[in-house]
Amino acid sequence: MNRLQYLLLIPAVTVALVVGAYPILFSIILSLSEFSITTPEIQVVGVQNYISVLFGELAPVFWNSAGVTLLIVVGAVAVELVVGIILGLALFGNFRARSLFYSILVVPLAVAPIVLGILSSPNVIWDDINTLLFYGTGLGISIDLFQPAAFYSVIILADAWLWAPLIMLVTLAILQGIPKEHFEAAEIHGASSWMTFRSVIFPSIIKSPVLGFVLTLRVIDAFKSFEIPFAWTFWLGQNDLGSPVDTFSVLMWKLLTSSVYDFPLAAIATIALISTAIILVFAVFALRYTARVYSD
Amino acid sequence: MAKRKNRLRYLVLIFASWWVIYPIATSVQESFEIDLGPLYSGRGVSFVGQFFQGTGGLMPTAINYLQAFRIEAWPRLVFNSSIIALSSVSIALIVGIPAAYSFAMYKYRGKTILTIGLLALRTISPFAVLVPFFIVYGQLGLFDTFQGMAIIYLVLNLPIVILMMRGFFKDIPKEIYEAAFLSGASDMTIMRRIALPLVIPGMVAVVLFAFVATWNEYLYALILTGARSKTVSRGVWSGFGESIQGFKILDFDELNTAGTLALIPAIVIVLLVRKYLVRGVTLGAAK
Amino acid sequence: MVQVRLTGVSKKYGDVPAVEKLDLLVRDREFLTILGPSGGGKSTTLRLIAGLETPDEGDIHIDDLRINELPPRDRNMTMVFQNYALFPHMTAEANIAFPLVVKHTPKEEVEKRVKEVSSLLKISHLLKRKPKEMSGGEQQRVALGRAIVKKPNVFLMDEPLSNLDAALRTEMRMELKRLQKQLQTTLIYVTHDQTEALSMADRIAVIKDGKLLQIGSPEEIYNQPADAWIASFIGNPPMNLISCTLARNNDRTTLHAAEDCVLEIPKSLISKLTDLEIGAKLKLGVRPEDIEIGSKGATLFCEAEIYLLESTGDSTVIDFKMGDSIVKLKTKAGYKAKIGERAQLVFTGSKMLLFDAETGRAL
Repeated sequence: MNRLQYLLLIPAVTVALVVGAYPILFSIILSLSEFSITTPEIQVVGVQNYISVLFGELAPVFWNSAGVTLLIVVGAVAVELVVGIILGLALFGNFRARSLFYSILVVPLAVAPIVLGILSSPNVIWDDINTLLFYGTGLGISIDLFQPAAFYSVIILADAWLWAPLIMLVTLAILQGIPKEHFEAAEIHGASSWMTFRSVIFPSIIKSPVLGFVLTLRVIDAFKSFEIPFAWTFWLGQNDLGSPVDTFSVLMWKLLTSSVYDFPLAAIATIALISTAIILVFAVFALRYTARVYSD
Repeated sequence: MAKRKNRLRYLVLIFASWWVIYPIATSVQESFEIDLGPLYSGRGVSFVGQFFQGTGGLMPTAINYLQAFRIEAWPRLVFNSSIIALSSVSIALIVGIPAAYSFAMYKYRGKTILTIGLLALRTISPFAVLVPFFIVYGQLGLFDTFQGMAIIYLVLNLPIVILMMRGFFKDIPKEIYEAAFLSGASDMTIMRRIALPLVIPGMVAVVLFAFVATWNEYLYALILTGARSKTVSRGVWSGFGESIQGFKILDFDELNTAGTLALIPAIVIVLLVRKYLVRGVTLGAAK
Repeated sequence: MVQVRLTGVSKKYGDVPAVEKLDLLVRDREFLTILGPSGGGKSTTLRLIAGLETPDEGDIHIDDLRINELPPRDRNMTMVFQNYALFPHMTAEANIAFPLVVKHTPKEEVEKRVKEVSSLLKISHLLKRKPKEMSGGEQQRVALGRAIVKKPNVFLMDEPLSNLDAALRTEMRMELKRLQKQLQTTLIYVTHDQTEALSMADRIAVIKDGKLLQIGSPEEIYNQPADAWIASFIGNPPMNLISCTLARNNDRTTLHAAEDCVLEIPKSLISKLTDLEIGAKLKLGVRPEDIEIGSKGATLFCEAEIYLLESTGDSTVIDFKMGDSIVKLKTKAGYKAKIGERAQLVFTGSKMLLFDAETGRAL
C-alpha cells in the first residue's frame, strides 16, 4: 500500500548513479580500451591495461604507490587513533578553560588539506625550526627533511594534525554517553582512576561501533590521500613516476599531467579501478559491521 | 591525586593547542611579512633539505593582502567557491532530503544495503570519477564551469546531506509523527508541515558542513577548473605549483596570505556549528 | 455506534511476542481502561487499534469494518501520548487546529471549533503560546484539545497522566472522565496505575504478557479477580495471597496455612473444592480491609505476630508474620500495637477467594 519510501529515494539514487555508477562504468570501459585524447574514439582491446599496470611497464610505479599508500594509511590512522583518544580523554570532564581548549582543538577540522600540505612541506615552518636548531641552539644542526624517515613522519603527522580531532570528538561523545552511575559506582567501590579507566572507560571506547565506523571512514579517506604528499612531490621527484611520496592519487595525478605520456587516460582509469577495488573490499567488509550505527 | 591528574591534563591540552596553533600562526604571521631575497620561505632564512641557503631579511607589510585582492582577484575566487558550493549543496539538499526522510521514517528491506552503497561512494578513487568527467565535460563544454563543478561535488555532498539529515529526522520524537499521522495528515503533509520545520536548525548545520567540505576540496578543482571557475583552495596552491612549474620566483608570502584567507571562513563556520560538530564529522553516526 | 473488536490478534517484535491471540471488545461510548504491568503489551494493543502497528495475525474491526490495513489517518481515531507529542514549532492554537487544517476544513469552521474546544478545556488564554512556554498540565490540555477537535470515533490515550504531579493527576482524572461522558465518545485508556483504572473506567481489561487476563467493571476486577496475579496487582495495599494446603479433619474441610492457622472453609467456597484432592496447594486471597483483629472463638481466625506498622494517614496497615509470609491488614488510623505482639486475625468469610497455587486461576 505504501510505496512512498521508495519514491522518496528516486532523486538521490538517480544522482548517485550519475556521479557514482556512471563514471565507474565509464572507467571500466576505458580501462579495457585504447584511448588517446587526440583521437577521442574508445576502442575496446581487452585487459592489456591491467597487465601493463600489474605486471608490465607501469608495474614498478604501481606497486611503489601501493606501498606508499599502505604506509601512510596505517601510520596516519594509528597515530590519529592514539592521539585522538588521548585528547578525548583530556577534554572529558569539567575543568577550567575546557571550552577554550575544545575550540582550539577542533580548528583543524576546518582547515583545507591543501593548506596544511603547503604548511607542512618544505619550507614554511621547517625553516623556522631549522633556524632555531641552527642558530638558537648554537650547535649548527638542522633536520634533513629529505630523509625518508623525516618526510614520512611529517606526512603522517600532518594527516594526524588534520584528523586526530575527529577521533577526539568521537571519543568525547562516547565518554559523555557513559552513564554517570558507572563512574560513581566505580568510585564508591574504591576503584582507582586507573581501574576505572580499565574497567569502564577503555572498554566503552574500544567497543564503540561509532569509533569503528569513523575509523573505517578514516581508512577509506587516507587511502585516497592526495594533498599532503602532493605538496611534497615538488621537492621529491616532481617529474619522476614512482617517487617515495607517490600515493595512488599522486601517481594518477602525475600520469595525467606527465609530459612523458600523452594523457594516458586508460591507464589512469585502470589504476583508479584497481585501487578502488582494493579499498572497496575492505570497506564492504568493515561497513557490514560498522554501518550498524545507521540501523534503527 | 586529582591535582596530579589535572596537571597532566593541562600539560596534554596545552601541548596539543600549541601543536594546532603553531602552523596556522606561522602562516598568518608570514602573510604579513615580505621576504627580501628570492626563494625565501617567508622567514628571511632558507634551507633546502638540511642545507642552509643564506639569509635575506624580512619586512612587515600588508602588501600581500593588497596583492591578493587587487592582482590575484581573490574576491573572484571566493565568489566562485561560494557559488559552486552553494549550488552543489542546494542540489544535494533537494534530492537528499527526501531520501534522508525515507531512511529515517520507514522500515523496508534493502535499507542497510543502500546505506552501505551510499558510503561506498566514498571509496571510489577520485580519478575514477575525474577521468570520465574530464572526457565528458570536454565534450559537453562543462569543463571549467560552475555547473560542472556543482555536479561533481555532489559525490561529496550527497552522502553528507542524506546521512546527517537522516539523524535530524530521527531526533524528532516518534510520537510527534504518530500524533500527526493520527490527526489525519498524509505523509507528504507530515514531511512538509511537521518534519521539515523541525529540522531547520539541523539543515543549516548540514549546509554549513557541506559548504566547508566543498570549499576545502582540492583535487577535483585542480583538474576540472581553469581560469573561469578556479576555487579558493585551488587558488591557494596555484601561486606555488604554477610558479614552480613555470620557473617563476616562488613567493611563499603570497601563499601564506592565500592560505590565511582560505582558512578564515572555514574556521568561523566550524566554530559556529560547534554544537553539531560531532554529527558533521561522523556523518551523523554520533551525537 | 462505534465498537472496536479485536479477534485473535498477535503481534511480534522480532522474536518477542508483544501481544498473543488477543480477543477484546470495546463497547460503544464506553471508557475502557487497559491495565497491566510495563512491557505487558498494553501499549502495543493501543497502537494496533490506532493503526500505528499492523497485526501479524487476527483481525481488528470497527463495527463491521475490518481495518487491519486501514492507515491511521483514515481510522478517525486520535491519540493522546504520555509526552503529549505537541508540535513544538506551532502555537497551541495551531496544534489544536492541525487535524482540521490537514482535512482542508474551511477557515471559519476551524476557528469556531478551536474556540469551542479551548473554552471547554479552559485553555483560551494559552492559544498564542508555544509548547515550550506552557506547563506540563497546560500542554496536556492542549494535547487533549488536539485530540477532541475533530470529533473522532475513538479516543486512544497512552498513559496521558503519568508525567503530571500527583495533585494535578487526580484533578485531570475527574476532568477526563467528565469530558468522556460529555462527548459521548468511546475511549480506550492505557495505564499501569490501578488507582487510575479503578477510579475512571467503565470497564477494565487486564493485560499481562500480551494476554487478556480479565475484563470487567472495576468492582468485578476488584472483588472477583480471575487470577492470583490480578489480585496481587490491584488494591492498595493489594490482596494478601496466603499459601495453604487443603486438609480434611473428620468431615470438616480445612485449609492449612501455617502452624497456628487452620481455617475452616466457608460454605460459599466448599462447592468449588469438590474436585480437589487432599493436599492440594492453594492460595487464599483476602483483602487487607477484610481482615480484623479479634479474639479466639470466631470460626475463621489465625494467630500471627505483628511485624511492622505503617501509617498511611487515613488508615494503618499492619504487617503480620504468618509462617514464612507476610499478611497485611488495614484498619482505622491511629491503631496502637507493639511490634512482636501476637494477635488473632479474623477473616470475613464471604470475601475470601481461593486460587490454584500453580496456575493462579481463581476457583
